[in-house]
This record gives sequence, C-alpha cells and structure tokens, in this order.
Amino acid sequence: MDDFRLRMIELLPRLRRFAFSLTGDLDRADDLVQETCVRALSNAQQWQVGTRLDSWMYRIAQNLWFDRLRANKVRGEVIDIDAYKNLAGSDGREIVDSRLTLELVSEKISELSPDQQILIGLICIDGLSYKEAAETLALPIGTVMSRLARARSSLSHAMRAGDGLETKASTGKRNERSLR
Amino acid sequence: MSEVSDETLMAYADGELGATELQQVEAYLQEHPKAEERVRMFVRTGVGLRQMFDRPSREPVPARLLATVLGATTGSAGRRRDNIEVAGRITSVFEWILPAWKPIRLGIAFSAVFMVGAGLGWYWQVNRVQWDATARLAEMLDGRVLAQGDLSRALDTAPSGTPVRLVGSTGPAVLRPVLTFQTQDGNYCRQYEMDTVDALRFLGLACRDVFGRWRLEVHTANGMASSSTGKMAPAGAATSPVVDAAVERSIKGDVLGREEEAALIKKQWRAPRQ
Repeated sequence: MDDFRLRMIELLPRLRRFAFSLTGDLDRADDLVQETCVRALSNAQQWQVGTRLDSWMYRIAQNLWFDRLRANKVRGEVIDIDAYKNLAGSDGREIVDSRLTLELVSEKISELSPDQQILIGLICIDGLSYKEAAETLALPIGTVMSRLARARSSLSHAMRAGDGLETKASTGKRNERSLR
Repeated sequence: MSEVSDETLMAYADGELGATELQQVEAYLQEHPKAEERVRMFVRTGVGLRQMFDRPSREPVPARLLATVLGATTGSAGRRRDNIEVAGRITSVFEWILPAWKPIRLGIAFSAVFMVGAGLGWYWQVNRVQWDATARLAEMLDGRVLAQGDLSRALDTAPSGTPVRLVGSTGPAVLRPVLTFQTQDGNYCRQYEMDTVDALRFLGLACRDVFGRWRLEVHTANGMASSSTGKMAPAGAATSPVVDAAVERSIKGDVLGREEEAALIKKQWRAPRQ
C-alpha cells in the first residue's frame, strides 16, 4: 500500500462531501468521486510530493463535473422525481422538497467559478479556517476572504429560492423543473 | 464606528474574529440591522451549508470507492482472498462503523475493506465534534487506532466471556472479550464483541503494542445484535471472516487457556519470563 493511495483513502470522506455539494445527490457524488479517484490514480505522476493532495483532487473532481454538466446540457438530463417519491420512510414529499433544495443549491455551487467553488468546498463544507484554506491554495488570506464573500453572496440567492420552493411545494404546487 | 466590510461580517459569522474585532462588530451590528441581515446570510451559507451537505459524513464510505483506490474488486467470491491479501499488506484491516451508520450485511462488509487511518482518521478531518465523542473509546495516533478509556480498561481487565459495560459516544455499549492469544511477535491480542445500545454488533481484534496500548486492528459491524424480539443474540453467535482472517494471520500456537489469561491480566500483560 503506497502512501499515495493511503492519503487518497483518508481524503475520501472530504471528497465525497465536496462532490455532494456539486451534485446535490449522493449517488452521483459517489460516481464523481470514483471517477476522480480513477483519474487521480492514472495521473499520479502529475501530483508533486509535498504539494496538497486535497486541492489537486478537488480540481480533478471539478473538471470532471464541468465536463459532465456540459455533456448533460447537450443531452438534456431529466431528473426522475418518481425515484424520490418511492423512498421508504416518512413523508415522501418532505424528502422530495429537501432533495430539490439540495439540488438547487448545488446547481448554484456548480455555476460558481472554479476558484470560488473550491473555497466554498474547503471553508463552508469542510470547515477549514481561512488561514488553512489560504495555505492549501497558496493564496493570500485577503484574496480568500474577498472571493469567499462574493461566492456566498451569490449562493444565498439560490438558498433563499430553495426556501421558497419548499413553501411552494408543500402548498401543493408541483415543481416543473423535475417532472418527467 | 466606521463601515464594516462584508469580509469582516463574514469572518464574524464564521467565528474567525479576535476578541477586539468581535466586540467592535457586535457594537456595529446593534446599530445596523442591515449588517445583521448580512451576517445571517453568511451563517446560512456557512454552517447552514455544512449541515446541508453533511450526509456523507454520517454514512460509511462505499466499498466501491475504497476498492477503486485499493485497486481491489468487490463482490465476487473469487476475489475474497485478494481483499484479505490487500488488507494483510497494510497490516491492519479496520471497519469502523459509527453507530449512526446502517449495519452492513456480512457479504458486503467482507468486501468493504476499511483501513486503520480510514475510519477515525476520516472523522477527525470531517467532523471534529464526532471525533471528540468517539475519542472516549478510541483515539487515532500515527495512523493507528488505539483503545482509550473504558474500552482500554475493559481489554486490560475483563476475562474472556465476561461482558463489561462501556459508555460509548452515543450511549452505553457492552464489550465481551472472546479469546486471547499470543502473536508470532510475542504480543498479545484479544478478539472481542461489542454490542451498542442501538443493537449493532461489532466484532474486532485488539492487539497490545510495545507501549502497552491496545491497538484496534479490526473493528467490523456484523449486523444486528438483537433479534426481532429485542433480546440479545447469544454470545459467540456472530462471526466475521475479516476478524477470523486477522486472527489466523497473526496467531502463534493456540488460544490461551483461562488460567494463562487470568495470570496475564493479574500481571498487567507482562509476558512470563521464558
């Protein structure tokens, strides 16, 4: 077991959360993480020992996800709301609502610039401090903060829209975006 | 006070300000409700976002992802030996299933080779709060998971077959050492079962290192400990191929007898002079 693989394993939970914030769906997040790992392993020689593995792998995940989104735009992906409805458990509609909110927010995260996205991933999703994030990305802390503040401003609109969506859905209006 | 920048309000919401700045911002907020609205926005997009996308840290990393990184294949019976080989090479297999996780069925659990450094280490990075709670029974040191507190004491003192009550991160648990043996290197290991309050049964193997600490070599979920009637399954009913393989790999000779074990416990695990 080489050190590279070990470090990748250690990174998996963080990578999954980052991928989840991009995809808004855990299955898709895991697909993305798996592709990211395959890509990272086959390009292992490109990673320089002593540099950050986390930001390197986050970048790979970002690139793969952009490619996927681009491809989906061409094909026109349809979200299957019935799959959500059939979930066992409590209130199906509640699950649908929160999933759609998640997807809406992650859609917005996906639309951010890669630099903003990675800051959201490291600081908001991972909980790194500004200083840690600045070191990880080799950026001045001031740059980190201004980029992050801007990214969160634009995200907040999506999150508020998400709140609205929940209210709308619970009053019985269907959400057109997800109907098949 | 002069205008406070958006970045400073964000740092306030994220708990990144020092005491002086904190006071200044709080004074400012009292007179500027609009700034307070900004702070709420930053909380929503900070802690709020973290909670929103927290689900992966409450569930195990899927076996397929581990297998991808390990270069192993999951699922097929013919590959089982390979998985153990992989585990053997890294000296320790570790399936750390936090109580919040769903029990993994045996077949899947077998191919899900988790490693030391994975389980707790991950949670150390991902969720410090969770780590703090878990740390009562185990800690991560130099890539090893070491028993702590109640768990360490129970492994030190409980004879095989005797259940001992532990206080775990999410409630009480019962630890039952199953057997004790000596390894090829002359160290002692104990196989154990652990039942948690949420009716999960874990099987594991802990080995004493040269510093006298119990290192958890394997800790694996083996499904539900209780039957549908809510009664605990009889001791010894559960087996795990991962634990069995780890025992087989390291055992020298036979399992220790009751007297030998009792003598070791009494001598605080100092090996008898040969």
